Amino acid sequence: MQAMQRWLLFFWMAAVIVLAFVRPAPQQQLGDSSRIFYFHVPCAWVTVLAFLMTAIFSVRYLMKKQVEFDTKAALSAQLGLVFCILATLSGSIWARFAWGAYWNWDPRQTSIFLQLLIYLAYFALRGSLPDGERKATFSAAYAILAFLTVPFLIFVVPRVFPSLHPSDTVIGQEAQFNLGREVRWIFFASLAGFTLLYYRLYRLGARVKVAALESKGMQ
Amino acid sequence: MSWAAETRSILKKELRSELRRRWSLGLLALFGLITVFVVSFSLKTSPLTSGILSTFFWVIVFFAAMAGLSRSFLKEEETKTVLALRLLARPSAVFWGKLFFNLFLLFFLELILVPLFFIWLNVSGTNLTGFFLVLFLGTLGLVAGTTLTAAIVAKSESKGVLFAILSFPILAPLLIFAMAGSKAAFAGGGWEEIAASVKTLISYTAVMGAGSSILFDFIWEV
Repeated sequence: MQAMQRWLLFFWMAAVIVLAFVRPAPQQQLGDSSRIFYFHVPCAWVTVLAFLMTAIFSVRYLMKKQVEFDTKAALSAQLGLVFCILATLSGSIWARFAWGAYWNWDPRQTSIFLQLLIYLAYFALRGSLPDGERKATFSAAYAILAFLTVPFLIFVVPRVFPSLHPSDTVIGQEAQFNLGREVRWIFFASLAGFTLLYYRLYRLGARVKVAALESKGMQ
Repeated sequence: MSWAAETRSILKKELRSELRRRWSLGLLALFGLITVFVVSFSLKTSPLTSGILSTFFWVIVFFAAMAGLSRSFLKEEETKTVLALRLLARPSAVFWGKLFFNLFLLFFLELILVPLFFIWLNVSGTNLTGFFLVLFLGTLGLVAGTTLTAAIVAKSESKGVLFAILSFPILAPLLIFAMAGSKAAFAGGGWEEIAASVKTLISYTAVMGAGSSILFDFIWEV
């Protein structure tokens, strides 16, 4: 079963990657550089999703005080950090071609950079505390507090300040899809693929970490 | 004792112990003075745009806050009075007492910062009502966002650096909007131009204040 899931995900992602490059570019004006849409947006999505999961596990830790939830929160943040770096780098490369500079502090770039800082601060806090209840509680509280700022970063900042970032590509003004049919299919296939990839990595990591916790408990 | 009375007595205790060691308030004032001095001295009297003014202003306030606000909980760790405080008062009273005390510290600091900033940098043409509104709300937000991190940092290693590292990402939305609001105010802009900042600052402060006060109960007990 596990092996089948793995192969299924492998072929799914492979198909998405091939289609993303073989089919016509999603946006005519931007040409080939707009193909980043298929990879950059899912990365940014997983960045926020992973942090949401960290916040949820943190709440559960504070409620139940079980080490397992703390481990899972940290694990999800680790994966989120990887996707956050990927989203930042891919966006930056795209900005070089579309806007002429790798970095120009567009509100979206500011937001993703601050999300990166939140992840790094979370790990800085974890690193500065010895293992135990205090570390788990403090990092849970910090993750939840930091998550409260995410709506401001994602929804408020890019809408109050002028941004060059395409913002209505997926969901338009009237919440209708602005995408062509084929683009939409590839995009959502990619979004599903990236989400499943995150989920798979998370499950894999959780199994290892929980087993480690159990073996530590047995000794 | 009621919650309000407990909060009041925590605040009173903080104020009293602070006034007993008047030099520590003086240190904070001096720190504020130095930061404004460095900025204005290096720029001499070259005219500054409203954007640069508001950036400098909030950078000064941010670092002064980083220097001053972590002390409220650190002090308890140093004098080993945490346990007594935990026994005597309920967590939420401690949180709000400390928060009001931090508010007092920051207002005190701004009392020195703001006049110096206006005089030394030759600021003119400012919409003062707008500026003070943004300053007031920004200060509330700063305190709402940092009281919890101060409590976390007090029990961690490498406290000073960690406080700034933990607080900055949380304060970033606040700083972005406070800078935008005071930029408009420095340029003499009216209500329409600062309204978006003011509204966001209010919602930020409400969200952070509520969130921190709930989370504080958990971290105060461990």
